Amino acid sequence: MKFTIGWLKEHLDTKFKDSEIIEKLNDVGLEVESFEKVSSDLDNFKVAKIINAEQHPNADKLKVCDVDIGEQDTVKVVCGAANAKKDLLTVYAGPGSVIPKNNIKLTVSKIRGVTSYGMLCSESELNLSDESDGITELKSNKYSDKVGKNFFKNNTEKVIDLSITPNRPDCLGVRGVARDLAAAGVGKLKHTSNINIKNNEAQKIKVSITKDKNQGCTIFGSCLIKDVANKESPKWLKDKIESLGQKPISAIVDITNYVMLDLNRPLHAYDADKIDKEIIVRNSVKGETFEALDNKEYKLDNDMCVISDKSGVLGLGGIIGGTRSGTELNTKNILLESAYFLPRSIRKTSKLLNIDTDAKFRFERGIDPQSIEIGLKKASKLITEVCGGKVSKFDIQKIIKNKKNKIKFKISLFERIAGFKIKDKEIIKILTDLGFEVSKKKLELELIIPSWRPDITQPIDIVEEIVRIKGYNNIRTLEPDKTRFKAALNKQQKLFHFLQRSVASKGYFETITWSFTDSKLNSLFKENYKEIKIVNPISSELDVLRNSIFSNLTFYLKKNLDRGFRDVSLFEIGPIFKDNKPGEQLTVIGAIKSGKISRLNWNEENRPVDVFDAKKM
Amino acid sequence: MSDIKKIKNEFLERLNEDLNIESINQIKSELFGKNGKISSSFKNLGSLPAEERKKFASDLNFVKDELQEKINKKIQEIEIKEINSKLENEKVDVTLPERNIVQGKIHPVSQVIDEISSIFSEIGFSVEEGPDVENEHYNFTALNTPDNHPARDMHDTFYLDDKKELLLRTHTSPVQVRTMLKGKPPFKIIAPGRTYRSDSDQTHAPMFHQVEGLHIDKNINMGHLKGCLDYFIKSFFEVDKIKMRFRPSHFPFTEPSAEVDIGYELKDGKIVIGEGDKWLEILGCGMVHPNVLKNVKINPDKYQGYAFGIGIDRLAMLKYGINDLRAFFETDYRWLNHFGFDPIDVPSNYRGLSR
Repeated sequence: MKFTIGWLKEHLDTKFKDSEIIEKLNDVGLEVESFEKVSSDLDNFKVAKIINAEQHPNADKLKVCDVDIGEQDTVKVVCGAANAKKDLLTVYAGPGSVIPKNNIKLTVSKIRGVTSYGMLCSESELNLSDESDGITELKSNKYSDKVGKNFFKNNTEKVIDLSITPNRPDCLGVRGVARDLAAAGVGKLKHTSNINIKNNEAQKIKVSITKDKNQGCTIFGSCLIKDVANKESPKWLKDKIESLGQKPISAIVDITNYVMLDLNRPLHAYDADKIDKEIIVRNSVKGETFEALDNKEYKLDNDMCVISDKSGVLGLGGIIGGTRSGTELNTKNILLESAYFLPRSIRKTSKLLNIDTDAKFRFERGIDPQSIEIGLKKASKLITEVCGGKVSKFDIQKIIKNKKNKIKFKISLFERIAGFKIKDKEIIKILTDLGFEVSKKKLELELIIPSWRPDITQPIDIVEEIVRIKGYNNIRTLEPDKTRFKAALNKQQKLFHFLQRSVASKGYFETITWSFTDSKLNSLFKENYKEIKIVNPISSELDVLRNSIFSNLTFYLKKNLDRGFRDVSLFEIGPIFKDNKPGEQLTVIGAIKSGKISRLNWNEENRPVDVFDAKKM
Repeated sequence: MSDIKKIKNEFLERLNEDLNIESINQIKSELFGKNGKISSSFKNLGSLPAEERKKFASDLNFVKDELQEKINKKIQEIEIKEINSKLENEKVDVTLPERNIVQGKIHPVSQVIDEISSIFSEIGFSVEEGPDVENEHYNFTALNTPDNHPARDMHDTFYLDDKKELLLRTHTSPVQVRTMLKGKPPFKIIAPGRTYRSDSDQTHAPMFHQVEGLHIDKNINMGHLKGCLDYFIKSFFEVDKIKMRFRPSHFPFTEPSAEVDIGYELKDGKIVIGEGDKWLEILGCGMVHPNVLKNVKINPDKYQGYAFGIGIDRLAMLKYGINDLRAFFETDYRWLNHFGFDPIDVPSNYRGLSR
């Protein structure tokens, strides 16, 4: 989950400093993975200095330059510019950079037999001026101490990257994050301004949700926007999308993405002219196929939730759209979808087809079923602002009734679990700020759970909300209670400990090797035990559970011999497996020794390791 | 010259020669042996006239003493000489290397497991174990992670059958379930062991070690959890003070859940634990979820408590300055020798954990 502080402040009225916001995010359980600028393509352009320029051996007009780019070693660049000479300060673009003028991506390449690592750029190639004669010449008084630094300034805002736990889909939208921060005292959550759109015309494409068994879609909202002119997004929107490290596509796509990132409300835009008569939300039939927006053809099984028209499948609901009805820059009329899909259905279908998309990630965790209209409103308003067009009335099909989830919460449970007390008034404030509707009944609270919190189902969830918003630093540190119910180690554990240290004291190095091994090696040691295959091994050489302790010990003995050690004594104590059922394992200790005893010793004669060394154990 | 004087002069002369111990003994027996010259002179004493006898006896005694003393002196001289020559000839060069000692090593993970067990045993925990091969129920479902739960994706599970019912445990938490099912509360256990995830890169190994902790009783709350971990971290890192932060998080089997970070700073590229303004995540914990208690037939209205899971390899890396997790399982002889522990170095509370 990524966003900028500026974006956050569209929802949160706060005077807190950036660093305080970061700290608070961690405190309420929204873990900050990083807070930094997104690297830009332009970071590849460095101020550089030509250290040496020589004639290319095979071309009269080319030079081979040694270029200082601020790293330990200089790089070799083949350059055709007449002004490339020793000590010139210029702009270097490394392999992988994209030249702004022509969008050509640089690679390491051989030019007339000499390998060139990147390129020295002219002003015109950098879109700085029309000057294409020769490479950029930088003034030494300004740039001589900047060799290796980025030539272009990265003007993007710093981006917060949160790692959102699977129970918090609401915080996959910026507004959700703002709400948590407001509850924790970091300012005030802004009211969503009323969005007024004129939408009097009826939505003319008929939508129906079939009553199939296990129907994965329960609400399907839509509106038609006619006579739009799709185009590049305006700068503010492009900047937003780019600040998160994503590429702007077109205004319509960018706006649907923006609303999704802002409110965690996924939307989908269809080219309305490509829909055959009507929209039918139904279960798929085995054998149906469609081409998805990832340009792959998917073959469907029975009972996957699809959005279809009279001609067939348009897309997988809540997972991915299809190419047949996708919007393009010349799209004139669009149908905007805002729907609710059941997490279980999303998960099942995406697993079977092995598709992972942003929409799937969100629906799988649970989208606010009450955000259908706000999503349509916000997106259609923006689309008409940018692309023009006329919006129809919203058509909302439902196969369930909206119901409010209620829960009763005994206030005393909080102290029982958290171990400290806070006032009832404060509890009520926290819950209200998080969006709960609270009514107090003596020692109990009756709560209506906000529709965006599918994770809250029982009283313990409420305890968690209160304690994390109040702050874990309020939890006391109690002296550990030392009561003992049972001896620390049982007989077997003591034996384990004794054997381990006793073998080590006889000169063996303890090792820990994988519990899995190579089936080929395993078959040499497995005796009568059954081979236990791993369905998804990490590599074909670690494809079975070990039936014996010796396969890996032998393998690593060989490895050490290969490393040049001649006398090696190893042991391992750990599990071996008899079968693939829990409990069908033994704890064994095995040792292996090779080479000579007393090698190169001045006062003892050396001899090869023999069976009596083994017997000594 | 009397016979006695003759004897005396003769022998004194012989005794002045360079002699060894054998020839002295020879001389000794020639003089004082059964038929020795002095001995037989004494025997002759009786045949002398009474008036001569006294003088003769006195002279003889005088000579005897003189010779005896000379002999003793000579013996001592020789002995000293012999010792000196022995010392001279049999000198030991102590700078030569010792005889072979074969010194084995204990793997750092085993050592750290013993350290952890020792610390928790001090506050009444006992050690439990569970199988490495688990079924889907114990590893996930019983731990409040049903089939359709996205949290399952966070564990890259190794499966042992196509139906995905049998697997290698992805954490030590199934030991909680097994322990609670086979006994009655209260429970106070730790469970160290191997865990597996199909994930392999510089910072992840397909097999690693965790220690699970579980304390269930009638009134165990988050304050006890914090106290227990505070005690553990301080004991483990052998410091009096440590910066520790509890951060809310989410695990399906605990609620409220927390991740614990400890403060550190980098000094000359090395991690120094305890102070500093950087945070390092070292464990996950929380109050055991009522659903988990219900799954093991414990009434959550009567009993409650906490659980935690700690990465052992990570702790070992931090405490002993080991940089590469993969090296733990590569059996490099030099690595084992360098990072391994003397088997007699058993961690215990009374003498401290590490040397």
